[in-house]
Amino acid sequence: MASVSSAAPGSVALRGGFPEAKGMDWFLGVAIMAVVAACVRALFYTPIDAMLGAAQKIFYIHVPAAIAGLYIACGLLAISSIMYLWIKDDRLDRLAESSAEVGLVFMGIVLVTGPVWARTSWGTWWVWEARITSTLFLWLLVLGYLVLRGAVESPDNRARLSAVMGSLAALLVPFIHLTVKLFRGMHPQPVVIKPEKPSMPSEMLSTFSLATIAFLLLFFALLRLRYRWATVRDARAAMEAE
Amino acid sequence: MIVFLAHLRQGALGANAPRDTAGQVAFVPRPDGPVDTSGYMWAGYAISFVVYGGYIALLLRRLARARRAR
Repeated sequence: MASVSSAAPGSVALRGGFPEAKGMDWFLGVAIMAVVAACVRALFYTPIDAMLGAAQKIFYIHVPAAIAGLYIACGLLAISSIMYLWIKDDRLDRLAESSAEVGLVFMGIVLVTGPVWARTSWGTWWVWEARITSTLFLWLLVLGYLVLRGAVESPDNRARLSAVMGSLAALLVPFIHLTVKLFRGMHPQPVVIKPEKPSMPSEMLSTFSLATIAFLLLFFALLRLRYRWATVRDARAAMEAE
Repeated sequence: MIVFLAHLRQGALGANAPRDTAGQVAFVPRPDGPVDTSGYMWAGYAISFVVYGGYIALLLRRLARARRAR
């Protein structure tokens, strides 16, 4: 991570010069290779579903993106936002901001690949049912969170207001998880993340596990890069303010 | 008329009657295997690669600018 340490909560102080702004790093390289390997395995070495056809393979990018974007990114957003309100450390604000932006990309993938798959299995691109609609609402809330950050000039006010909004937005995640149980809708029940044994053949399950690990690696590599950029940006802003 | 033609098509294909699949993925099984949906599969993967690739490029561009601005 960049060589910046906070001298006091709410400020970025430089120790030993300006923070490094490295570009491509080994972690991102490994994550990209893992994602390519997972996609090659999914596309060419995993059986086609007998009922749903080749489009079912969207599952291997749709569900890992949902796990990273909804559960991990929004979880980090909530935890770092609440922690920021408590201890007022700038690094937590940067972590919340980075989680929200990277999570927005992953949730965007969920919202785009879902309709492509739905067109083949449901015969329609979009259904206004509970899980899909609430995921769209969460995406809009996270987008609103990022827009809010851009609209407030004072760093302290920006961090405080966005921490409140971030922690409230993430409350939607448990609701989204339970929508398939609470409401009758088109979206299928969980096939992997459930109390019972996953209801998938072993070849598909191993591809899904590989894809999940690969996309989680990509998520953390992008989060690391985004956090690093936020650190450099804040350090530069602090230097200009002096 | 459309409903009649749909029933006729199902009959011609010898497909089973539609099941009550409330709460599950709805489908009508075909005797000759699944419909070819590989175009949708490729579209889904292509969209994902473009979005992830675009975001990685954006982040690297931001970092490169930050490095130049030092």
